[in-house]
Amino acid sequence: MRAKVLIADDEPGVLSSTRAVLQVFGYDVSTVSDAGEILAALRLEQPDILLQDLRMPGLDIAAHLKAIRSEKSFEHLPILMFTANVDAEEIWKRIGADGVIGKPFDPYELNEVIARHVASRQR
Amino acid sequence: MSGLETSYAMERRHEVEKRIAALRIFGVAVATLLYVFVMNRGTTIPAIAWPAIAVAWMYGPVLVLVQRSGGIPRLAWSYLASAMDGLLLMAWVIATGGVHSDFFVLMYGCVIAVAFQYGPRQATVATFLYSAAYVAMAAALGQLADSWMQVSVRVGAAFFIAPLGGMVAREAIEQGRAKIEMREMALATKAAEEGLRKSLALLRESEERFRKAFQGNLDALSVNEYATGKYREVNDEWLALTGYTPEEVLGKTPAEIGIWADPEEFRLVLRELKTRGIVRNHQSRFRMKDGHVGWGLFSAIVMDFGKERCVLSFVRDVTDLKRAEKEVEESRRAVAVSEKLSALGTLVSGVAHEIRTPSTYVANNVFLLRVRLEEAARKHPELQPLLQETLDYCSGALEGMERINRLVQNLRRFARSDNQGRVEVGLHEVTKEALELFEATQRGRIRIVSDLQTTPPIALDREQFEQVVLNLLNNAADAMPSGGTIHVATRSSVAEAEIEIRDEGQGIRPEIQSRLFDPFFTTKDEGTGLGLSIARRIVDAHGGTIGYRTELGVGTTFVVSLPVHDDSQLGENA
Repeated sequence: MRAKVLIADDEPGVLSSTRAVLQVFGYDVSTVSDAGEILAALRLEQPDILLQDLRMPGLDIAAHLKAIRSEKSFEHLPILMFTANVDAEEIWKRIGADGVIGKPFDPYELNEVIARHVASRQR
Repeated sequence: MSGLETSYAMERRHEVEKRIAALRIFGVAVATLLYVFVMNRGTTIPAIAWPAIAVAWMYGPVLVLVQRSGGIPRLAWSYLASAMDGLLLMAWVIATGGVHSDFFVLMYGCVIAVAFQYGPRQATVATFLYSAAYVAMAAALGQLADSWMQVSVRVGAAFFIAPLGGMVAREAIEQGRAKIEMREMALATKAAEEGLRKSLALLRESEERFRKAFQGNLDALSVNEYATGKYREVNDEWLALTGYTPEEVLGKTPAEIGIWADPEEFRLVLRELKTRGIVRNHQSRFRMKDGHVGWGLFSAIVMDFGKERCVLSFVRDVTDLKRAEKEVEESRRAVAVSEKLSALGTLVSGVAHEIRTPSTYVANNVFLLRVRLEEAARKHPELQPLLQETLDYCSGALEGMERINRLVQNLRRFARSDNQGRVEVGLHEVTKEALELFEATQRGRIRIVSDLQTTPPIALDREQFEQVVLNLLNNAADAMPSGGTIHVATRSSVAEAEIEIRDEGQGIRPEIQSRLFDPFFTTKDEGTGLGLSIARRIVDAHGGTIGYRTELGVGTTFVVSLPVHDDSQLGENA
């Protein structure tokens, strides 16, 4: 079965191109661009991994992740911070994410990281 | 003399009365003696004679004493006294034989006394009175018929003596007046002398005060002749400030000693003085004896000292003030520059961040392009060559993106504020980053030849050192306006690590070498002149050195050298 990825990002260019890239690697990708709809999208799509943009309009990232983690089904969901901010190195650990992917990224690297996290979860 | 009593007259009168009193006593004494011892042969002294003599003896001094006590106008007393004299005289003459009495000589004495006391006119009146009385007495005693010749002679003598006496009296009076006048003149002269001495003392005091005010003034004062401009006076502060001695300055003009550093300013000031007569707080530069130039606040006013027209000038030394002003101005500019840089940094930071987003989907799209092409080539083998070609294009595009990213990264680091903190990094890395930034701005005009040997990590502020290298690279580029090659090298030894940047420009001229690292010194039209001074500051703060070798017409090599840590750390991080 194909792994499911949900990408949350407000930039349409990033969203569509990253989706296309991941589809090349065989992932089932859904996207959400409005911060307020992320939780709904999570419940609907039930992805195997979430790629979360660090900065979206109206998003308090720490509270957002806490809200996600508070739901039983998403307690152990792999969440990767998706960000252009190189200083995010330290943040992702503190807020409860499982890793960080910088923008721009190497597509093969992204594939590898996603595969690793999905695999460890499925185990 | 009439009723007008001048001090002279009063004094004179008193003198005279004393003399009259003495004269009276003398006269009475003589008369007594003569009467008793000389003339009394053959005649019996009437009993009344003795009390009369006693009264006569006392009469004189009593008169003086009574007159001295005052109360009754003196003139009245004097007339009374004179009248009493006359009566006494007559009585005495009658008592001593009338015409035959030899005491008639006392009459002359009385007349002279009157002349003394009252003056020549009264003497004449008295003469008449006494003569008339004498004649009347002779007639009354029945002696006139027999002795009319004697009486006439005596009366004539009286009239002869009276004027004589008057003249003598007048002489005496004149002498007395002269003496008193001389005394008063002497007093007046002494008073005038005293007054003069006092005035002189006051003048001297005033002169002293002015002199002290002039000499002791804390501004540099000078007095110059208006007509010629020559120095007449300079005060101590003036001499101390300029370093001249009075001999070197007095009698010369300001132009001759060259004290005005800017002759045009001097002309301006002179014009002002000629038209307005006053100059206020004119900031000017002055050259001192030793040649150094200072700033002074110059004021002057045209003044007439007696008949001479002069210019009084005041200069306040404001060199320190000016220097402080300059420093304030410099630091203000430095603050403005750093503020600008900071604002720029924020801008750059923002841009750098924003660029990542589009570069993300450029990279993504190129990737997708390649993938699709590969798929297509697999399905349509004839597209293989096309695929090969486009693969190169894709790598090229991706490479370009990578460069953009690196540039952006460097820019962000560079734009961050000072003192981000020190990290352990090798100079070769810092240089490489700076080179990347530099090359992005060059548009191919400058060629870089680099030999960046690995250097041991040193604790340094990465952004600051990038700035240093960038400054040196920019200077090297500016030294070669028509393009050229910059040789960049990094190397290290046991003790230190070095960055070397060599250009092929015209070299650094000797006359500007001493000012090279001065803040705000620049030979470029644009440019803050801060580059090298900041560079030096940063390198110094890291305990390193920055220096250069230059050869005119050949080029310049700048070398930044930093001490390396002790060997233990070197081994650890190598």
